[in-house]
Amino acid sequence: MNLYQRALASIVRRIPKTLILLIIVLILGNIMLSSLLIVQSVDETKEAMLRELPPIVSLSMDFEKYQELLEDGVMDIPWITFDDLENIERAAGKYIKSYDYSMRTGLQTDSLKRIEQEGGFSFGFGRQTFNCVGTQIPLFTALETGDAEIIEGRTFTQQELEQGSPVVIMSKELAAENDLVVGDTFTLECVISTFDANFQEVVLDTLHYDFQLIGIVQYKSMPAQEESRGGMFGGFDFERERLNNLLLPNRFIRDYNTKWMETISNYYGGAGGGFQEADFNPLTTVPSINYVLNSSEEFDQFVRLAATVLNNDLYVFTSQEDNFKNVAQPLESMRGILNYVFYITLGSSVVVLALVLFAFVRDRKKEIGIYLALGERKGRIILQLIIETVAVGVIGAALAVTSSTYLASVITNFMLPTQPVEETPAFMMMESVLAKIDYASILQSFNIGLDVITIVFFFIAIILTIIIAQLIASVYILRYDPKQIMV
Amino acid sequence: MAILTVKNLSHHYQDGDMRRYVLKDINVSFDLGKFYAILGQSGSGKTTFLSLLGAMDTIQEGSIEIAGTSYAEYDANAIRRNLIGMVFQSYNLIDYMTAVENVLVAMSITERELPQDRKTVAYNLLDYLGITRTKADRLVTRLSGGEQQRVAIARALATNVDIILADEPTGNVDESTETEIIEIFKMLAHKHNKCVVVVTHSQVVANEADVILTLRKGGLTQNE
Ligand SMILES: Nc1ncnc2c1ncn2[C@@H]1O[C@H](COP(=O)(O)OP(=O)(O)O)[C@@H](O)[C@H]1O
Ligand SMILES: [Mg+2]
Repeated sequence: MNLYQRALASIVRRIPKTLILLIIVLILGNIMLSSLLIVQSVDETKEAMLRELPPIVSLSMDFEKYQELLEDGVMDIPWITFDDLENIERAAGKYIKSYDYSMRTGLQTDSLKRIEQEGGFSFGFGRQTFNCVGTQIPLFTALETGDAEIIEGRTFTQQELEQGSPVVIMSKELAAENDLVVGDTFTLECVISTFDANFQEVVLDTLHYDFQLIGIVQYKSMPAQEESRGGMFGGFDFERERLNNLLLPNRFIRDYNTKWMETISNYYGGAGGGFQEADFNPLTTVPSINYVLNSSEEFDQFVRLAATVLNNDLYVFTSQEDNFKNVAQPLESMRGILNYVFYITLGSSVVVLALVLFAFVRDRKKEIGIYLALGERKGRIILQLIIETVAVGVIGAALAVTSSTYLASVITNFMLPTQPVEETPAFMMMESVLAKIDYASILQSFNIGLDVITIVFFFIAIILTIIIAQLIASVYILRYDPKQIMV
Repeated sequence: MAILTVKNLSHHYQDGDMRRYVLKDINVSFDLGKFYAILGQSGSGKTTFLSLLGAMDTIQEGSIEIAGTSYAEYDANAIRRNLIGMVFQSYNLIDYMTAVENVLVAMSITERELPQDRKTVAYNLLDYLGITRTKADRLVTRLSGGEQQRVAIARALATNVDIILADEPTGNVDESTETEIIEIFKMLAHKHNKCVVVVTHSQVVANEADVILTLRKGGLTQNE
């Protein structure tokens, strides 16, 4: 009967004691492991989702702050400038793979047929309006994010982008509606007009552009949202409206906007007629500047550096990670709570186990006295007790491994709402290059799975907890002497 | 030749601010091959004396030598596992183990050279002391008091030590069992050349001993 045989005998022949310990470890282990599992699953889901998305950081205006400035009557709004963009590129270039931004304008023309909404919305002066979406680089943001895919033809060349050539990319639906194929040229007659004092339209200029269709895109549909499909917002289908977008070089839009501004300004009595200088800053039409980074691990470094260089409170950097955290708020808060639960359980396990094991040690006072009377070393007696409890603990932990997956999914179902707290409106989703993560798809990719590292970590945590608890409980033995069994 | 020599041994317990001496300046020696009985009334210090002999308590004044070497030079634990076998009034067996397992526990703790086949030795020893093979494989809680005490004696002998110390070993058994156990101790001393020291308050036990010592008022006297 050496130490190990003694430990084994004690485990298998003193079943009630073994069962009590087993149940305690099972309960504590389940709480610990299931919270550990959930924490790790949230992290994994986040990583997996972020891995799929390109590492993009968006620089955009903080609209609340802008609103405040307007309310305070601040005249010179600190708009972002091309100089700012160059400075950022110079300082943080090593993090940037590419960056793109999209200037915007609207063209009033009846030369193309729009894809209409079912509700029959119309804009402007009874004439059709096409949203023009500009592009700075050949691999523009929508292509980079996979939000759009060129299915026929090609993207812009560097030269077309620099010169602002009248080349256009459109959706396959719009092309079909107008019987256009890649390579076709078509003329757009565009009108610049305004209202007079009697709210009557005054046509100021009519421009003719000979466009060439160079590419056809297909848009990825927005994630389906509550009730109806994605685009609906107040009865207006933004997803359908997107099909009417004309993709053009930024330079073209910039030139057109300048022309428009001059025409209107002339009408209102020359330069300065109601317009401020900032209205001529082409970047004011840009919703966001989108930086594609070399690696998603460099979000923080890039943002810190770029924000310092920019030094403008009105603009904020947002990364995919920020966006994930926003949308996945319920997951993040669940993760936070269970992270605490894990450490609290771990800490209280030591206390609970130490108390229980202390009771066990007291109960075995006589047996320990006998070992001492037979000349056994105290260290070896404590070792025997540790072997016993660790063995039972490992069995308990192994059982917890099988049951905690189930428990974790029960907890998740209980803690996670099936609907997002706040739904991102579809038009925002389309406008922001980042807001492509939706709650439903997060929930879909969230699943509780055990991995080896978690199990190993859990076993180490349990074993260390038991050893510490047993050592605390065994302090009693140290001041125990064999003579006590003689009476 | 004396195997155990007690020199000027005194022992006291703290009674509030006062030291109360239980043993006072004891000088005695024990030889191999003899059966000693230490008589004394309850509370006279028998257990205290035996626990000092058995290295279960720390010596305060005086000394005890085993084969010429002072206890002070040994680790108390080592004396217990390698040099002495103890038998108690309340048997002190481990209740969730069988008789043979209890014997094997002692054999696994000692550092003495033991025969390879310990299990056989343990069974034979138990058999020699009247515990059959079937009983040897029973949990000790399912043996009678006398049988349990035989198991306890077997455990003390299993490490093949020269000295057996017993504290009122027949205190919990009936008269016929008492006689049988005393016979065992006599045999161990006379046939196996052990030094057997039995503490008792029973005159019957004392009458069988080679040497009777009486503990009274802290002093130990030999009856002639
Ligand atoms: N741990 C102790 N603390 C204080 N007094 C003790 C202790 N152990 C024994 N005594 C006292 O010492 C005396 C001798 O006790 P003991 O050696 O057990 O006697 P015996 O075994 O002869 O009955 C008794 O008066 C007892 O009360
Ligand atoms: Mg006594």
